[in-house]
Amino acid sequence: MRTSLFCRFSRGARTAQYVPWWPVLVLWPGLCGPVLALELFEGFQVHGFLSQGYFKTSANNIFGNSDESGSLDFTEIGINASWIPLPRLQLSTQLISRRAGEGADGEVELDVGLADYSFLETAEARFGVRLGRVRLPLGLYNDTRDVPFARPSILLPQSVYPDAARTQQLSADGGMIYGAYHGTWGDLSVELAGVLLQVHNLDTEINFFFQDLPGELDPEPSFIGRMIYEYDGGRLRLAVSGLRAETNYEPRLLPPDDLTAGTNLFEPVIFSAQYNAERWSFTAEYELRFDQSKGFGPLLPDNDIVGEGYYAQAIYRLDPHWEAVLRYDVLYHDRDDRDGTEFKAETGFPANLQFAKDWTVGLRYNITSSLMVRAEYHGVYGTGWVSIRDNDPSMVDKQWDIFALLVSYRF
Amino acid sequence: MGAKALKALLRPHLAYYPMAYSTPSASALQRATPAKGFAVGLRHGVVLVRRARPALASASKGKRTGSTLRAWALCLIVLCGWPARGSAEEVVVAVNPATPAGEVMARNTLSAIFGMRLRAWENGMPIRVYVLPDNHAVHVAFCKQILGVFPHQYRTAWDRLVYSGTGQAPLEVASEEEMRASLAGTRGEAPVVVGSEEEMRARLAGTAGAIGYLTRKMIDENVTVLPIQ
Repeated sequence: MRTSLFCRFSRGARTAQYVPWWPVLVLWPGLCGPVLALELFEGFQVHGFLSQGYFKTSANNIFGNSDESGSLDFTEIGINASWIPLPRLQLSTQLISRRAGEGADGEVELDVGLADYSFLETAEARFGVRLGRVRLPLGLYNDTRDVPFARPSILLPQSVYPDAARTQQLSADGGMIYGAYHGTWGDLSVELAGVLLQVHNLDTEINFFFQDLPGELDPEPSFIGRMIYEYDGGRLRLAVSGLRAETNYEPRLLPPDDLTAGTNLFEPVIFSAQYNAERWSFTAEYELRFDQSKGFGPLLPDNDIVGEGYYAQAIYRLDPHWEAVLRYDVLYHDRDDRDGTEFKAETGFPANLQFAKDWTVGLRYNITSSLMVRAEYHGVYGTGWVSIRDNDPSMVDKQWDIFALLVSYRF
Repeated sequence: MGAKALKALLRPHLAYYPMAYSTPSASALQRATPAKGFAVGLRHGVVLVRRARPALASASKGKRTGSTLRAWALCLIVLCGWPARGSAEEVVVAVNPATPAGEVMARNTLSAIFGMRLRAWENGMPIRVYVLPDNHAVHVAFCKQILGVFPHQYRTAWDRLVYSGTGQAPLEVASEEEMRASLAGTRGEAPVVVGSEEEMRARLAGTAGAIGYLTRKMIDENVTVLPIQ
């Protein structure tokens, strides 16, 4: 969908907007004290996390104006509560406030709000249902992508977990059934859900059309599933997950001022493998994305694109405090136009918007079990996942570096 | 690459350097065959690796055999390593005497309990899980010796439960007062991270339905050892 729209519409407006980072100043002193997770009453737990990032790039912007001055426009605050009122029933909610350049302004979002009931719970098997706003089970990291302690690096591999599509892929409203079996041959777990994705927002619209159009996006029922096999207590983990997302566009004006009512069908499939040793963890994921658009009118001819993304990652735990990560991450928006030549000829935009290859090295230092700092370097070739809201797509640099720092606290 | 092959590949250096804070037992060192050109010893609780000069010279001339590769791996591990500390005492699963856990427990069941997937005993009594901090030598030994996993795997699994809203994880308690309140039985439904083995023992002794782990020397008449199959 990206490809052909580029030529039709001018880029979205970009305003330099100062977003205060006072929440950090207010909350930071709290970090010095021994704040721990809370159990307010029996079975009721409260957890939370808070992180502040710094990004400096040699070219292109990431999360704010990182190119010129370095950017502190990256703050994640989350609060999580869960309650077990009955032995098999859990109620959970998580609120997140996220500032990330132009893409997120710190607004509080309901990230999780669900009731989880297990019909069957034995040592061998578990079967149950979740209703409400659930995290989408995609790949190995989507469930916990906002929690710095639970992700492998400051920036997740953008080929499989693009920040541009975060709101759409993070959590959704609907119902999910889950089942798990734990045998001597390993553990098998399956999650299947029918949901309405969060596409009725500017973020997703810009991800789809590169700009704010007069009309709105509306979700059709979407289906998502993941199956994980774990051998030897998770030493080896293999997973396959997939999504079938249908999104409609409801125009408000008539062409040529708007598109016509079209439909996009987005079907990513992710294959994941992970091997965990005591000091090493190796992870690789491969994603194939089928992206079909039709009915958007003459401004956006029907198209059918297959994109792909994959990465390989090694984590080494030097000791309980230090952890190092090395990763190579590759993204192609269109498998039939990997170097973007056709794209450039068609649209006039730089070819490098169609791909990205990213070498990442990072270090993590756990000051305590709840306070952590991270530093990371990315050598990136291509701009396939730069934010269109933070960058002018006609002026992006092909070769660029990112240096990032993150401090994160949790309780 | 089969998991078994990887496991075999890994085992030699695990034996040389059973990293996690625990001193390797003398028998573990004996089991490990030192790579050619290396002598391994145990002194003051620290793994010592000496180069045996003539052997190394011949090894470096020869082609890269499995043993030279292992030697390099060993060098790396020793260089990056940190001093072993803590004890290598046997760790056992311990429960409150009133806990309806039966005579022995299957490892699968234990793994479900500590993975927070099983929350009630067969008679419906809530399971109360107590763990030591991730870096505690006894926790590391429990994970590795009894459950056969590494502590970081449990941490990842617990984080996933909490932050996707699908489960609860062991909770660190804030203060001594809270601990005393909890010991008095006023609260403590959720799994709890305790600070020391003494606290663990007190918790297990004072909470019906409680399960945890201790080194064998910590066992007294107020807690019951639960053998694992």
